[in-house]
Amino acid sequence: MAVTTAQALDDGAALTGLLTAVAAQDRKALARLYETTAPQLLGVIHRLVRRRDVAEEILHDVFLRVWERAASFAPERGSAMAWLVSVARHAALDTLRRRQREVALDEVPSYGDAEDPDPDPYQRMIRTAEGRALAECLDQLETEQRYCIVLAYHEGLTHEELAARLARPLGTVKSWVRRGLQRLRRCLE
Amino acid sequence: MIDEDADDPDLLAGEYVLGTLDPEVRDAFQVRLAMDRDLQARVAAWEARLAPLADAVPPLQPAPAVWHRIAAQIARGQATGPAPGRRPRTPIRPGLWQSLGFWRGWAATATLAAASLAAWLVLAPQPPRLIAVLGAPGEPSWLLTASVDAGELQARVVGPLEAGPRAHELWLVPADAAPISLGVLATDGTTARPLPDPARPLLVPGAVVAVSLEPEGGSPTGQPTGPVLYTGRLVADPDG
Repeated sequence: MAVTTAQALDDGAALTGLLTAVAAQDRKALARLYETTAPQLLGVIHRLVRRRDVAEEILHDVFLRVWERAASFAPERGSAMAWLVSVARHAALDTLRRRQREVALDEVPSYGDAEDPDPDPYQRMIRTAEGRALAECLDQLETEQRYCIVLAYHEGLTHEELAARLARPLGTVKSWVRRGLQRLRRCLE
Repeated sequence: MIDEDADDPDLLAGEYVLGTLDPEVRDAFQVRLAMDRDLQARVAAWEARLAPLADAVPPLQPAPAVWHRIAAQIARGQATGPAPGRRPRTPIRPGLWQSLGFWRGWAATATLAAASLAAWLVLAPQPPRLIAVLGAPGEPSWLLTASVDAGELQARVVGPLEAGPRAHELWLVPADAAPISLGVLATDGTTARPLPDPARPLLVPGAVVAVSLEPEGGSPTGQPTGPVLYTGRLVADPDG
């Protein structure tokens, strides 16, 4: 359980091998994959939905989905960890969006259950080559652009929610996000 | 309504991965994504670009019970399942629930009274008819009625359509498989068509349908080639 995602990303071939075995319905491989990646995925999901019980429920769904859909992972398109993270984030975002539609505003999840803010998240991020590249490119963005992108990624905020959080007009926030993404794309080429 | 065609699809893909799209735009994007391989590649590229951000979040150790539940559920061979109340009585092939599970997060079409319909769905064991409104939110263009038992569907024009000589082709968009053509639709009045066999088991509440613009006579490739103009989701017809 001590394997961090950073090491796992460095060891992408091992994760790809596990996912391939999972696609062939190897239960032991799923158990190893879970051991290796579940803590990081739960961290990402929890940061998005802010509730431990909901996050663990989503993690459960994510691994069932991985069990059924591992065959759709295409190694040439990205790393195994990127694929797992995307399955986890979309599951969490689906839950968030559904809740937004179904739950009155005053019932929107409290933030009291959130973990303490992290002193330096970038230290963890820059342990891989991809992480260092992204961190360097994020550094080149304007502060607002960087803030919007990181906040949206981690907290699952829509354009409207970003605008409310930052007390800026919707159009301004949208253009920060888009310009930020454009510059990131160019920088990472 | 968002004019998506005016947008750079690659940036839209980036915003989708980032998660900033508003729910309705996100839904519409997911339908396009299911039908568009180029868009799928763009999304994968953004996922790879942004994935290191996930590392910035501190890991959290899940409670041991989480894995035990996963392992038990897989051992029982019932991986992805719908909420119990939603399971129709019709026997369907096992792969289907994967799709339903995958699409589970989708919202019902905004143009319908979704909440009351959803309540009705839970009570309805086996909807005899399915309906869908296709269009942009608040701008219905087609009303689709599908009777799986009778093996027929009808598409009625109920709003203004994109003009032009090109064909409007209707698709069923499964989550994990290529879209299935349900035929070219007349751009006025009502079109009735038989349901193709492969589509029948997939026509269930929650299934996604879409209309794309194709060359006259329909897509030459059997897969959508033109832009997706209208999307919607099937729900049980409360009067059906």
